[in-house]
Amino acid sequence: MKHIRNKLSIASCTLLSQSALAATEIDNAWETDTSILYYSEDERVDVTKLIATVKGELSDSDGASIKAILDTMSGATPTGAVKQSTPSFTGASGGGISAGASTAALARFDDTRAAMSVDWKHTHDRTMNILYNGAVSIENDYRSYSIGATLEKETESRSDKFTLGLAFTMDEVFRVGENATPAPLTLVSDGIFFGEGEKDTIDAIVGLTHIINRRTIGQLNLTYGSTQGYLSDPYKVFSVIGNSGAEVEQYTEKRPGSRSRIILAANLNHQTYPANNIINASYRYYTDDWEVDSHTLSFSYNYKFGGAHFIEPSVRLYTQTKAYFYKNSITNDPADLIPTVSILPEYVSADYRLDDMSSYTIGATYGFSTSSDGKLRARLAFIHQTFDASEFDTNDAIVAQLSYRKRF
Amino acid sequence: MLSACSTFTNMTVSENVKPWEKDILAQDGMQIPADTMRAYTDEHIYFSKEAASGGNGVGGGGCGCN
Repeated sequence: MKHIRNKLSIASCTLLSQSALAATEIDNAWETDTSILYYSEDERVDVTKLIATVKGELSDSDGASIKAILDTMSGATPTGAVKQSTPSFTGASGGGISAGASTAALARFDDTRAAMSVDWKHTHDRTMNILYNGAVSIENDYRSYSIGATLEKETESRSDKFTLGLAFTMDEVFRVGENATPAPLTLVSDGIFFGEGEKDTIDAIVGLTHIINRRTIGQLNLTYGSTQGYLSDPYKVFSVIGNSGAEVEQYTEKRPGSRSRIILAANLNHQTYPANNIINASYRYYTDDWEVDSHTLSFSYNYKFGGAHFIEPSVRLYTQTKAYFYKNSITNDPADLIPTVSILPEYVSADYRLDDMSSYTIGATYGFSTSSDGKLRARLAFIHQTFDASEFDTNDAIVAQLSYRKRF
Repeated sequence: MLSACSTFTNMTVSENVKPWEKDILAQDGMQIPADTMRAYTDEHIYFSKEAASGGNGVGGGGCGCN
């Protein structure tokens, strides 16, 4: 009898301990997500990006995630010079340019970027979370440091969540190998340089996420951002051309020392009935004091099939107006005998990314749940950009991405 | 057309959702963003190639992407 009682005691204790272990495993759930992305432009820039994220619950009230990123970038990038220009002395991100290696309108470069981001989430109470973020990014010619915090507060009914976030970023900008920036609005041939450039950014966001119904959730975000300091690109130049269109001089660019922006973003997710597929829609309006106004519209449709599979076609439409100081080139014919410096505007940039531009992205993602806790995603997308005045009218790019998420 | 109208109606009708009715909203695909990895990489691609950036979060650092 005593022998049976002892066996029952042991069995009971074992059962209780296993229940406690299961509870512990749920409370300490971990997740990894890794991705490799390949981005390739038509005869221009190639980028390979490796990303690994680990996220976990450290306790009932705290969770953390770490993201590590490694980018390798190479190829040819527009310098801002016109295609008829004499060889430029500029080179971007680790690459130099030698006469004859490429047209002066394009500069070859190669660069490697390593970055890390850490997020810490603290659950203050059942309706409030605080998220802290820190990030570092290091390249051959750029260093970025960022810290931020976001407060999330839900209503008692959990149908609404308010968000308030603040972030500070400090960036150091310089030409690779020189730790210097070119003197603005000076002749490239004069080779006048200053020290490293620095810019500081503050961003603030307020948001509202609202459960519309059992199958629909919406979100509105309003962001204000302000950047001060060195906002020019240390590699970009612009051409002074004669009446024939041929370059006669080449100058370093100069952008304003400040930039303020306001962004309104809306997101909507809806699961259809009775098919139970998911529609994602988003719209973003952006405006800043460089007179860049842009609209972004995105849609995706997540179609489930075969139990564990999905296919998600997507489309993104984008349009922007040019910065007020954007010019493809400045005209000053030598025969007019007018010193160029006397006609230059206060700020000039021929960076094509500041031009009037519209683009579309079409793509599709295939997903497969490898187990109850694993998900593989394979994505392919095509981006087409059309520029109004830039030396290069269009830019096409392919994006291929493979990602795998695993929950433990 | 009828399906699109029905879907639009289903999107916009407001209702009070009880905690036990949030199973659909808890799905990965219903989160904003639905795929944080894709959202992060897309933000970086378009930040490098367009004049506008941001809108759905702050921080995370910058880059000198050419």
